[in-house]
Amino acid sequence: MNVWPLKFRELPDGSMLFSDDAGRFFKADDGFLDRYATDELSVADRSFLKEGSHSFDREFDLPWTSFAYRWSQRQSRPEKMNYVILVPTLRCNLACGYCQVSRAPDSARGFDWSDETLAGVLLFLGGLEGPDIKVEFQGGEPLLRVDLLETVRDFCREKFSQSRFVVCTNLQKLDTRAWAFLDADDTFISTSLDGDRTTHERQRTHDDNVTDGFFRNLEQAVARYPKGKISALPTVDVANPPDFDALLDNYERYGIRSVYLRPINHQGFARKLDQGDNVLARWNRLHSEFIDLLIARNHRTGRFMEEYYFTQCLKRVLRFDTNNHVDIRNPNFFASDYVVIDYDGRFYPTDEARMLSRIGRIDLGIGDVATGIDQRKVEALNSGAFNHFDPDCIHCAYQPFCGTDVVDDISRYGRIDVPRPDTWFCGRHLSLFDKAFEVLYRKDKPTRASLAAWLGVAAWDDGMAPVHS
Amino acid sequence: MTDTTESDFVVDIPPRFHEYLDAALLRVQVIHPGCQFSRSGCAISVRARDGHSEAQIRKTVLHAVYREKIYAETLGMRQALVAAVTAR
Repeated sequence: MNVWPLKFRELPDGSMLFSDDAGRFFKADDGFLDRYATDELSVADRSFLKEGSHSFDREFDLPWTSFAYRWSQRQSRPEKMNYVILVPTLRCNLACGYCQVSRAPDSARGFDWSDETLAGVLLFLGGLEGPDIKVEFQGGEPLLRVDLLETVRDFCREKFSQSRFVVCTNLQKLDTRAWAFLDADDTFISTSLDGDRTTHERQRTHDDNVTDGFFRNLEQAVARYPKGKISALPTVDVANPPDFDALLDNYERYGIRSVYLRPINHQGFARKLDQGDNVLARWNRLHSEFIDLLIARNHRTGRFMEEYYFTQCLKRVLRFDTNNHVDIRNPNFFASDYVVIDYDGRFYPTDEARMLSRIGRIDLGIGDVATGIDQRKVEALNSGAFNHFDPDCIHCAYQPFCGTDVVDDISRYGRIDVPRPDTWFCGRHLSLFDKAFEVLYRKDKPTRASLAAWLGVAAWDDGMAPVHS
Repeated sequence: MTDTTESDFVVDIPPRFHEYLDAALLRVQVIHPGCQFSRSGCAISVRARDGHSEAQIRKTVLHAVYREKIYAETLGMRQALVAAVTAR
C-alpha cells in the first residue's frame, strides 16, 4: 500500500491535523504521526487511510485515479476572460481617511476616461469571446460618470448573451439618472458600511449631514430593491474597531446577512496609517472573536449571518466548487479570467496591483487598451501564482485550501520570495484555517447550526470532520 | 521585552532520518531565527535563545525531520500525479 503524502499541523489546542494534497483531512494523535513517519503504520492505521482514500496500491488503479480527480478538482483552472473591473473615473465625492487609491477631488480634471479610452475599452470588451461577462464599476465614485456606465452596459448587453453589472458606490449622491441606472435587474450595488453610524461617520463621511445623506440613500435602496441586490463591506481599523454587535445589527437592519470583514488595505495610500504594533496578531484575534460572536448571535436570533471570507475558507476545506474566488484560489493566474482597466486605460492584473502602482512603489501595469495586455509581464507575475511546490507550503496542512498573493507580498516586502510563514498572507490564512478547523471539530449545537447554514447543508454530520483514534 | 533565557541541549535523531537532517536544519533555522542549530553526527545541537521551551523546539526539530523525509520519499508520487493530470 502507498500512502499519499500527508501534511500535518499541530493546532493551537494541541491536537494534530493531517491533510493530503487533494484536501482530505483528519485528526489523529502524535502516536500516529510517529508511526507514519517511521513507516510503522498499524493495521488500524492502514485501514483508516485506505477508507479515507489516502492510499493506493498501483498508479492508475481506482483509488489513485480517484485521488487524481479530487486533486484536479481543487485546482483553479483558467477560464475565458469574463470579469472586468472598470474605473471610469478616479474622482470621488468623499475623502475617506484610508482611501486606498488616492481618489481625485470631485471637481478635478483629467481623471475620467477620455473618448479614446472609452473606445479602447469597448474594443477590448468586443474582443472577448463570451458568452457571459461580469462588469464591476469601481472608482473613485463611478456614478459621477453614469453616462460612461450606460455606454458600457448598453454595449455589453448587445455583445454578450449574459451580462451582470456591479456598481461599487458610496451611495452618497444619487440623482434621477443614477437611480434609473441602478434600477435595472442585471445591475447590483456594492457599497461600504463601516458598522454603526458613529464608526461610518468617523471613517468615511466626517459630517452629520453627509452621513444622513448616505443612510437616506441606503434606506431608499433597501426599500426599492429586492434582497440580494445590495451588498456591503465594512473596512475595519484594527486600532479602532467598531462595536461588532452594532455592526451586525446595522447590516441585518438593511437586509444584508453576509459581512466581508476587511482590514485596512496595505496596497494603497492607507499603508501610511499608524495602526500600532502587532497588527496581524491583533487582526487575527479580532476576526476570531467575530466568528465566535456570529455563532452566538445566530444561535440567539435564529437568523444566520456570515463572515463572507470565512465561509469561503470553510467551503474550500469541504467542497470542490469554490475554486474561483479571486482572493483565494490556487493557482491564481493573472489576467486569465479577469482584469482591471483604470481611468487612464491602463490594464492591471488586480485592483490591489492598481493601488500599488498608483502610489509609485512599482509599476504593475500590464499594458493598456490601445496596445493590449503585456503577456511578458503577466508571465513574470504568474511565476509566483501557485503554492504547490513552495518550500513552506508543500509541508503545510492548509496548502490544498489556501492560495497565494504575489501582489500583497510585493506590497509589503518588495519581493515574492520571503519565507511564507513570515508573510502577512500566510499569517492571516494560518489563523483563518486554524479557526476554520477549530470550528469544524466543535460539537456544540450553536456551532453546528451555523456551520450547516454557512456551508449550505441540511445538518452537520460528524463524518465531515474525521478523527483517527 | 526580549526573552534572554538560554538553554543548550541535543536532539538525538534516529539513524533512519539522518539523510534528511541537513534539509530539516535549514527549515528550523528559519522557524527559530533566535536559536542556533548545528549538526553533530547523528544529532542536532541547539542553543535556544528565543524564549521557546526545550520541549517545543525538540518537537519542531523532529517535525521538520519528519517533513523532509515524507517530502523526499513522496516527491515521485507528486510528480507522477501532476504529470498525469496536466498531460495534454
